[in-house]
Amino acid sequence: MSNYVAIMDDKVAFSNRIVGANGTLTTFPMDALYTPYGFLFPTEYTSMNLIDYFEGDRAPWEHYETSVFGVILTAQGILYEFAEARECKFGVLAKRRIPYGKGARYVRANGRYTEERMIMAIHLTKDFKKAHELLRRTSRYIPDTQVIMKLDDIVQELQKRKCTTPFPFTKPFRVADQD
Amino acid sequence: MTIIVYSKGQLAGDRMGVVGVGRSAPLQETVKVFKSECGRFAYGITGDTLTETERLDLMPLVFRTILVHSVTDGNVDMELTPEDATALDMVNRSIMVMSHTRAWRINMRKFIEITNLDGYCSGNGCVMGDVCIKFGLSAEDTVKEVSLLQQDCGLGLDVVNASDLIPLFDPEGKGDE
Repeated sequence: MSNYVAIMDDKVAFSNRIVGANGTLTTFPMDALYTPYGFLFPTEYTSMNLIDYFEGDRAPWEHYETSVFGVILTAQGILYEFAEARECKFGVLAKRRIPYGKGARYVRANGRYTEERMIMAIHLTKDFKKAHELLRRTSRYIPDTQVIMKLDDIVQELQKRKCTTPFPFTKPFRVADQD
Repeated sequence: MTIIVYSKGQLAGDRMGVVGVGRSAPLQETVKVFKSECGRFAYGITGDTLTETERLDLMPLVFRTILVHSVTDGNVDMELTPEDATALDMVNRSIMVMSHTRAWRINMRKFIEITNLDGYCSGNGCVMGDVCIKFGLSAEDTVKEVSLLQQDCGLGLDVVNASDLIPLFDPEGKGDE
């Protein structure tokens, strides 16, 4: 299964239904995605391990085809993607700030092919629901459900829930928290 | 660095090519979709750019596909020998062949009929191409759209329509004029 996070202008589409390594479908409750650090858009089964990482746990975790571990929207309204930093040993994260708003088009997924498919599907349909349907007609690995939200609404909810813990890093671009 | 698409009687391809390898390699316009001189078939080739002589070396494979399939209504389970596959670099290449009424894909020692599929895409723009085909775009429009979003595709467009090809077996002999 290949989960994506897609942004079109000020809206985001993703799925909280994820298939693990043994092929069983898992539904992450929406409340669990409001983490102390922000809203986590899961791209794969192990995306929640990012929270462990922020809290100091350096145990390695499995990840799949691409190196994007997850995407997090903070209560300050800033969007970051977290990926395995290239040329570094495991446990080193690359943190990338992603702009959004009018004209924004952004897709990351657990699988390069899903990214390519979704980028084209959004380009052609300009509609998340239609893009998701199109995606499911071209790949058997796309989740059956899709959640569409306004990013600003998520930010408001994060502030309401006081999910304002800063990331435990100080370096602005590449986080290299070497133990 | 290619997108070649067959869909509903149309074969289309981009022209993106590079000289050498690596990110600094200069781009080169490279035709990948050809109409045969006899006008009876068209073909598209992915993989490293071929000289005209190298391209002719692939023709027996194209002819074989057309001839064998022309005497049967269904798909034929044909295979290249491993030696042929290596000599023609078919491990890293695929060919799409289109006649007046049918089309096939040759790849990795396999010959597959693609006439009745919604479409078939080859090259590294193929994943985006699949989405375009399912969206209902023609082969030509698929190549155009993929060229917009896939940085490895573009630089030009070549299209051949099956309706412009001469039937392989022409009872009235028009193909011999």
